[in-house]
Parts: sequence; C-alpha cells; structure tokens
Amino acid sequence: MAGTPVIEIREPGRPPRRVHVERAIEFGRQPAGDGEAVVLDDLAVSRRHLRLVPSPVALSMVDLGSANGTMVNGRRVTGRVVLELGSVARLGQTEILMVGWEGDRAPAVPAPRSPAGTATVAVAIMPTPPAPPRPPAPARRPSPAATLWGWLLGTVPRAGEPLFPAYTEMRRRLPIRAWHGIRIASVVAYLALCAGLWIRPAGGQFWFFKVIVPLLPILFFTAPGLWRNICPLAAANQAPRVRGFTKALIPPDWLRRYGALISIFLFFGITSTRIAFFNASAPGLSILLSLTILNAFVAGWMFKGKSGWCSSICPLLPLQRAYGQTPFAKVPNSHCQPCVGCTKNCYDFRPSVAYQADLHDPDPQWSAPRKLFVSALPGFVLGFFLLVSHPGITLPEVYLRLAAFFLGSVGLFYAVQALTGLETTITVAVWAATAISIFYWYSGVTLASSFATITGIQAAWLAWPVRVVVWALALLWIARTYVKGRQYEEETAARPALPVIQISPRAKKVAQQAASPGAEVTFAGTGKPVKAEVGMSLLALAEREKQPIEAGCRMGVCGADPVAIMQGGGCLTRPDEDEQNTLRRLGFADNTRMACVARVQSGPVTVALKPEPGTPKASAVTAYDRSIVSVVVLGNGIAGVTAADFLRRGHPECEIHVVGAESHVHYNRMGISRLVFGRSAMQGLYLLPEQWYDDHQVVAWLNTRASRIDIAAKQVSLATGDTLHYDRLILAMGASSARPPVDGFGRDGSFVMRAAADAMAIRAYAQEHGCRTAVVAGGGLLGLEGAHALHELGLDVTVLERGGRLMGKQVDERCSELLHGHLARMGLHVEYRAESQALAGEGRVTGVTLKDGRTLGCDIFLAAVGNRPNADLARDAGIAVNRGVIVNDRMQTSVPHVYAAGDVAEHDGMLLGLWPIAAKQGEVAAVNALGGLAGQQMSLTAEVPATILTGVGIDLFSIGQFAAGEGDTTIVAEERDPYDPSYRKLVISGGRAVGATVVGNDPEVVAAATAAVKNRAEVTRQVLADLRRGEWAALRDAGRAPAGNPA
Amino acid sequence: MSFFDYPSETPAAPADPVDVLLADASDAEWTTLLGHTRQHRFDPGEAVMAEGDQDRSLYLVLEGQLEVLAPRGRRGAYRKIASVAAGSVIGELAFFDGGARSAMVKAATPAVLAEMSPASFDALAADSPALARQLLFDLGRILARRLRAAQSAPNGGEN
Repeated sequence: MAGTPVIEIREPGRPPRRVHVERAIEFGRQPAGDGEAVVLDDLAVSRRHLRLVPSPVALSMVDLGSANGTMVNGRRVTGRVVLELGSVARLGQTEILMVGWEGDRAPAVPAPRSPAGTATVAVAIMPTPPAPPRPPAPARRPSPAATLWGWLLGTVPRAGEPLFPAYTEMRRRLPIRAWHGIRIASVVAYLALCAGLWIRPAGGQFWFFKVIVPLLPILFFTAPGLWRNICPLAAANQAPRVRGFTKALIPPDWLRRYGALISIFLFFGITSTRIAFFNASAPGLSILLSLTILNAFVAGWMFKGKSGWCSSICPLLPLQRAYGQTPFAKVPNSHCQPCVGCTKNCYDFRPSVAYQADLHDPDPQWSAPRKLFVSALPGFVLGFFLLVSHPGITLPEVYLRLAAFFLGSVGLFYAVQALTGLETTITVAVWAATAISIFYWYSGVTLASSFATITGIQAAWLAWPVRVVVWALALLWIARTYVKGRQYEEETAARPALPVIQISPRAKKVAQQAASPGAEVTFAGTGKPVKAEVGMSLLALAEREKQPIEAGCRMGVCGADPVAIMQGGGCLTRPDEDEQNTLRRLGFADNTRMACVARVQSGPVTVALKPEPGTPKASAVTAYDRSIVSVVVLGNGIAGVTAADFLRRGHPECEIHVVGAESHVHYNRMGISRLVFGRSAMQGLYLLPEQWYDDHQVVAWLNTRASRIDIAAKQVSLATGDTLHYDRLILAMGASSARPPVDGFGRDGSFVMRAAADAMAIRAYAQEHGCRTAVVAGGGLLGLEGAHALHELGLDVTVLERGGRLMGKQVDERCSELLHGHLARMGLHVEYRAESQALAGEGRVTGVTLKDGRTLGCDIFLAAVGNRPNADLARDAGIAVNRGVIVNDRMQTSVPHVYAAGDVAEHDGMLLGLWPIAAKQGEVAAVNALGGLAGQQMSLTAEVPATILTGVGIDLFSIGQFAAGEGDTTIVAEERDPYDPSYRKLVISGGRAVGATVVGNDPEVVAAATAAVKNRAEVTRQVLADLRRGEWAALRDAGRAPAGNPA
Repeated sequence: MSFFDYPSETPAAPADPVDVLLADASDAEWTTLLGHTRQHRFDPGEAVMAEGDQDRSLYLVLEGQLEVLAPRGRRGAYRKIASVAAGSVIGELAFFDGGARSAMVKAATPAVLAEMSPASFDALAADSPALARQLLFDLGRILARRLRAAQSAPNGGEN
C-alpha cells in the first residue's frame, strides 16, 4: 500500500476536516518546527504537542512531551506509535482519526465491504441432471418484441456487464495507443482552428459555429463517452499525466465545492457573450479557445487526475453530465489508467449513474447547482436563438434579456415540480430533452446550410429530418432515463438511508461460540488469547490476527510456515505423513508444526511463530548400502532438497552433492510474485537456513550448472570444470517457463517468471524504464499471479487468454466468471481468444501484436504459457525422455542408478508441476536410490492434484474433478456478493466425492473437501442432505473415514 | 458499497467507532447480554415484523440479511427500501417510544436474530445494571448523533 495517509481532525466547535498528510505535521497551540503546522485553540493542548510523520507504509505519531499527554484509542502513549487505520488520537478536546490512504495504487485488498453491506445471499442447490455436458441453463426466451423493447429502454444490461458498469468493467474496443493517436490529431485540429481564426477568420468561424458547435450536443447525447475520450481539451489536460510530469495536487476545497457553479457560470457567460462579441470577432474567439486549452493544460499539470478541469470546471461538463446520463452508446474512458479517485461521483468512472448520484446527493449544495443548470437550459437556448438574429444588440442588453429567459425557464421548472410532484430526475430529463429539441429546431437549419456550403448541394429540407430524429431520440431518452432512475433507486434502496446501528462483531462471535464451542489460541508475544473456530488452521488464524507469517503451498509440504507449539499441542489435529516429512526435513524441535495444516480442535493452545532449533539426533539407521559412496542430486528445488534429506536419513555416510543453477538456497518458489511488488526481496522466502546443508553434510553447489552426464563413467561434469562422480544420480532439474512462440521474444522488456531472479529482474526493469503498462500472456495460475504482481507494482495490466475463460484447466466456468469479475474490479483487463504473435519495438518492447491483427501497447511483456521440463541434459546423455524424463512408479529412469523427481520427471505420461507431488517424488527417488526401505522398493501412490490461488485478493481452491461427468451430481452453494464472493461446489460420482471447488476464504470447507476428495469419501444420503442445507461441515466427517481404495 | 468506490481508494476506516453499540463490551458481557435475549431463526421470506405491529422488542441481527419493505400502490405490493446486514440493530425506535413499526422487515436469507423485549431488558438491568446502563447510553448516544446529523444536513453542517 503506497500513498498519502488521510486523517480527519475533529475540533470542538468546528466541522471535522480531512487532511492529507504529505509531510510531517506538528500539532499544538503554537507549533514550531520546520514542516506544516496545525494550530489548535485548546488550552489542554501544549504549545508543541505532537508530530505526525507519514511514510509510504505507515503514519507515525510522536508526542512531543506534552503536559496533558496524548491518548491513542484510549491509551496514553509515550514515544513513537503507528496510527493504524481507524485509530483515534486524542489531545485535549481534539481528535485525530486515521481514516485511510489515498494514493495512486490500487490497494491489495478487495473493495471494502461496508459494515451495513449490501450483500444479498442466495443459496442455490442444483442437482445436475444425469445428462451429459450440461448446456448453460436454457433460460426462457423472451419474445422478440420484449427483447427489442428491453434493448430500446436499456432495461437489460449488456451481456457480462453489471447494470451500471464502471469503465473498468466495459469492453474496450480500441487500444489505448489508438486513443493517444486520435487525441494528438484532435489537439492538432484544435490548434489549427485557433490559428485558422487569425488567417481565415470567416472560414474558422464557419467551421466552429456552423459545424462543430451544432454537432457537439448530439454527440454528448448519443455517445458522450466518445467525446470524453477525444476531446482536445481533455487530451491537453491529461498530457502531463501521460508524460508523467503532473504535480497531481489535491484540488483546494473551494474548487471541489464550487467547481460546478464555476463551470455553469463559464458556460452561460461564454455563450451569452457569443451573441454580441465572439460571433463577430474571430480574433476574440481564437484567444478564448487558446486560453481555454492552456487553462486545461495547466490544470492537468497542477491537479491530480481530471480534478483540475475535465471533471470540475470545464464549461462543457454540465452539458455532458446532463445529456450523457443515459448514453445510447457507451464508450469506456481510456484516460484514467489507473483511476486515482480524483472526483466525487466521477462521470468517467461510472457514466450511467454519475448524474443520478448527483441529483440524489444528500448535500443540497451538491445537487442544487446541477438542477439549476438544466432547469435554465431550455429558456436559455430559446432566448439565445431569438437574440442571435438581432444584429447590433449591445452586450448588456444581451445579458439582461437572456437573464429573463433564464429565470423564466428556472421558474417554470420549479413551478411544474411544485404543481405536479414529478420526481426531480424526470423533470430534469424533460427539461434537458426540451432544450436539445429547441436547439436542433434552429441548428437543423444551420446544419442544412452548412451542408450546402460544404458540398454545394442545396438541401434546406435537411433541417426537418434532423429535427425529427432529435425529437424521437429525445422522447426515447426520457423513457430510458425514467427506467434508469427506477433502476438506480432499486439498486440504491439496498443501502440504508440512515446509518443503522452496528453491534460490535464480538456479539456475533459470542453468539456463534455459544452454539459451537471454539478454542482459544494465544500467539506468544501478544499475550492475548484469540478465539478460533474448530477446524481452523493456525496459518489461517495467524493471518486473520495479522501475525507476521509466511505462507507457501498451504498443504504442509513446502515448509514455509513452521511454528512452535508452546502449549496445548494435543489440542491440534495430528500431523499427517506429508507434514511429518516436512518437519523432519526442517529439523526443528519436536514441538514444531506446519501452521497451514495444524488445525485447532480444542484449546487452549499457545503458539510461537518462530520455531525452536532442533537437537541433532543420532541416526537410527543401522543397515545401509556401504557401496554407495557418492550421490549427486541435480536441482535445488523442493524435489532435490527432499531427495537430499531422505538420502541423508537413509545413509549416514555417503557424500551428497546438490547442484543448483540458481544462486539461492532452497526457497519458496510459490511466493516469488511478491518479489515484483514487495519491498522485502528474498526475506521470508528462504525455506531452509544455509546451515541446513552443513548440518546434513550435504555439499551445496549453488549458482552452478551441470554441463554433461556421462552414464558410462558415472560422472557429472559441471560447467565450472569440476567433475562429480556418482554411484546414484537423482535428476531434479525442475522446469523452465516455456518460451512463447512470439517473434521478438527475448528482447528487453520481455520476461518469464519462474525463478526468483526473473521476478527481481522485472521489478528492476519496471523501475529503470518507468514502465506504465504490461501485457501478460496466459490466463492460468502463474499468469494471474504475475498480472496481479505487476498491477500491485502500479502498472496497467492486460491479460491475454487463448481460451474463453480464466484458469480453464483448473476451475469451472462459474469460478472463471467470479475471478474475472474480481480482476476487472481491480482494474485488470482480460482479452479472451487472444494470442500474441509478435513483439513490437526497437531494442525494447513497446507493444505486442496479436494473431487477430490488433496491437496492444506495453512496456513489459510477461509470458506465462506453461512450463518445459529441463530435460536436455538427460536427453543428451541417452536417458529416455519424452517431454520430461520418463520414470516408473519407483522414479527410476531408463538407466540404472539414475532416478528423476519433480517437475523434470514425466510419470504416467503426466507433468503435474505441483509442490506436494514433487516432494513425494523426491522422497521416493531417494529411498529407492539407496535400495528401498527394508529391502522393499517404494512406489508412488496416486495423488489428486489441487490448485490454490491466493494473494490476488480472492481465494480460490480446487481439487480433483471440477466439472460433472455423466450421471454425476453436483452440489453448489453460492453467496452472490460481488465484493466478497463465496462459492462452493462438490462433484459426486458414483456416490463418492471426486472433486471440489471453493471460492472465498473458507479454510474449514477447504480442509473438509480436500480430505473428502483425497479419500474419495462416500457421500451418504445423510451427508447429501446436510450439504444441501448448506452444512458443509458434514463433509469433514465423511472425509475422515476413508471409504474404499483411492483410485 | 457505493457506485463510486474508486479502485485507488483504500478501505475507509471501518464503522465509525462512535456508531458501534457496546464497542468495548467484553465477551463475558456479550454472553450475559445475549443470555437475556431470545434467539430466533428466520427462513428467507419470513417476516420479522410487519408495519403497524405494536411490539417493542429490540433486535440484534446476528446472522443473515434482512430486507426492509414499504407498501407501494393500492394493491398491497411492497417495495424494498433498504437491506440490513448481519451486525445491525433494528427496532430501536419502538423499543424507546412504543410506537407502531414503520415498515415490514423480512429475512432475505436464513437469518438469526436476538430479541430483547422490554421485559428481558428489565431482567438484564436487574442482573447487571452497569451493562444495561451502558446499552441504553450507547443507544441514546447513537440516536442523538442521528438527530444532530438530521438537523444539520440541510444547511451544510452548521449546528
């Protein structure tokens, strides 16, 4: 989270005010200091009372030794404290509230869910009919007339879009680059007009007054978004932001408050002055236009986003907002990449409700000027056209007469409202529609004559079609606006008008605990027990309690989250085999558990996040093959390290060499995306201390490449010139990211993300070249992690997915939809059925061309299109290789004494590329390399692959089959809350659980579903009934008793 | 959520601490308080209260979602005017003034509500007077704030 902390200061006798803490601020009665100061008129406050110091990660507060002290959240503070979100500091009678962060980065967390949230919950239970591939629910087809009607009135949102889509949720038809081109052209045209007014005054005036001005309103009326994108003033306003030299200041309060009035004043003022001045004076018009664009540019240079001009004081803004409120064609805003949240009720953010939100605003200072503008418009337009044909009228006379029209129109508006009781939104729509109808009554004639001037064809009758079309559109527009007003009210009715009284969350917890007894867990160092629900993992609990803990595979295999159980170990679930192996590998003290799989069953438990060092144990191995002197493991990933660990366990004497191409000791590969956006580099990613290799007498060859395997001589040559003899060889070289077949891939700015070094290189490159946009090829797990990381780094990211949905190989369609919705709200773009063809740019990547011919601009191109086993070395040595090194159930390759494990190994024709499986394979390879356990060779048991996506703001888990086959049953439960989706699905085949999908943070359900699917648990009628009632805990009991043989 | 939660904005502070009922009550106090309530389960569509009802109970919404419905037109149709999420209090006005319920409230999802009737409040007050006093004080403070907000809204924050 980077940005500026925002505080609210509440002083007695003054309205609360919000302050952006950009620099250190001192508070007191007579603050001194070199930074900013806030003077408080409060005798209980010391002269120099406290200082607030912001940094990108925290807002610190320090009491400057005040007489009466400072309280934070009711406690007196000494020294530096960090003001957390929601904290209240009190000095004298003044309160300082930490209310949020305002910055130019999207937060890592999903959109907040307000306490009185609007979630609607629906539990849907759908037994799948035993028919093969279930077609999408064949909804009742509405009659064609109804469809047409719905389309005309806009009652039905476009497929895949919410009712009132934000620009991030709309389909983007043109790439940003194309918009940039159009904008440059529009600014050039504008400047040419300014110049032309001096050179050919008559021509310039003709084009401006007789062509452009008559056409603009109809454009605002039909496709306002198009104008918002191509307006030359907006282009000038946004140029400093695109070029990165804007100061991005927050506009002053008066500008925010009176912006609407200023723009209205400018609009009416300039238009009235036109009659007696600009119409006659081409130089005057040129100066006006030049000053306007200069003003827009300066405002963009000074103020953040569009807050200086386009969304505040642009004189055309009131027109655009009023007429653009029910657009016939929506064109998403392409300026704001990303949105910086610069204005209230932003039109560019959510065009179809911005004006409704204005009119419904509870603050009359906000809504009244907007009403005033539209109410005056028909009279003003009529007056304008009646006066414009009076030659020789003086300026004051123009103003006076127009004022009369203005007031007449306004008066009529309020009179009609008072007499008929029409809703404001409707009155406003009728007034606006009337104004545009009057406008085109006159401008129809102007346009017809301009047409004659340009083409030479006399067609005075053209005025009529123009008028009729505008009237028809105006009528339709009123109807559409009425419908939309209704929809807006329906939608907003879901929000309480008055603040509802909230009870503290504690109440709910207590009530639940009364129903299901929980357990108390204490994290050492905090000293305060917290309640855990039964079945919750220590990791989930630590994360909920914001304890500093790392997470990796979340299956007890990777070893990222060892914790020490100081007390109450018996209250946790017993470690399974995977966890025991991990614990043994890590070698900490006996009280260590993997937090992700140790689940709370009862209490109390005390946990320390730092595991205790273990005592070296005398090896229990007595019988081992003394003929084995040296074992070489190629690869330092999870398969290689697990193999080395089991080798040492099975053989106390032999040399073990681990050769790793990367320069790091074994680390958590699943966490590397954090290296792109986080500031903590490798810290926390290392899974083994360097000491581990020495403790286990393992020779680590880091940053070392193996160059050749000589099977006959049983030697591995290293690229350093060294040679390692082996009696047993274990290949665990892992995999590399597949290079996409894209022309120009490999150029600066094109990346893959497989190793820590890749991720760090991306971060470095993005900083070095000031990268703004990125394209990620691949909508799978790795692609999305990469995309999220780049987004977090502040880039505008587009994901290219070859297929029609995200993570299509791991989750079902509904999940893909939820995932898409989540990413779209975050501001990520996804292009489906998009494949990259070639990278554009000389030397450095500047864009990517797709196979369908489109070009997307980007500074970074990240390919995540799959993995390729690093099997070349084995192939060259003559070991049987298909895609990976072929192994049997015992991890033996085609060559005696050579084994393979992990991502490099192809077992049963499959390359799964999953951590838990790689770890298991490493173990089997090591045990068998040493001759097996008690003379018995070890075989790989079948694993059910699972997929986990976390850390992108949405939790997604899937195991086994995600789609139902013929005769299968599915049970689905979903809570339709777009801001915190929750979705669960269980696939049952032949009465047994064979697959599960869970979206949302629901560790207990994940654990229960995992156990059930792994054991292919029988789903009895009783369990089925429980599931259908939404009680998924039933699955836990079903999963506990393994039924039948795992397939 | 509103229509204008910009993606760049970090979540605002959770509920203003001063608007939370019994924010500082401990688990034990909540246990006591809830012990003096009757818990009810509602199925989706089931009415919690109808407009015109005369009962005076205060309800704490522990789980689920409710919808507030107002009559619309002459044919007895209702229109949803608000929704109430878990963690909210409803019925506080009638609890104090005994007036008729102003709107119909139905469960939108399976919901659990804790009901505190005037009688059970008396029991609570006898059992743990400090907690009951705190409850009343908190309710009063929140209602006072609302009143103040309602008074000051039309002229832009003067009060």
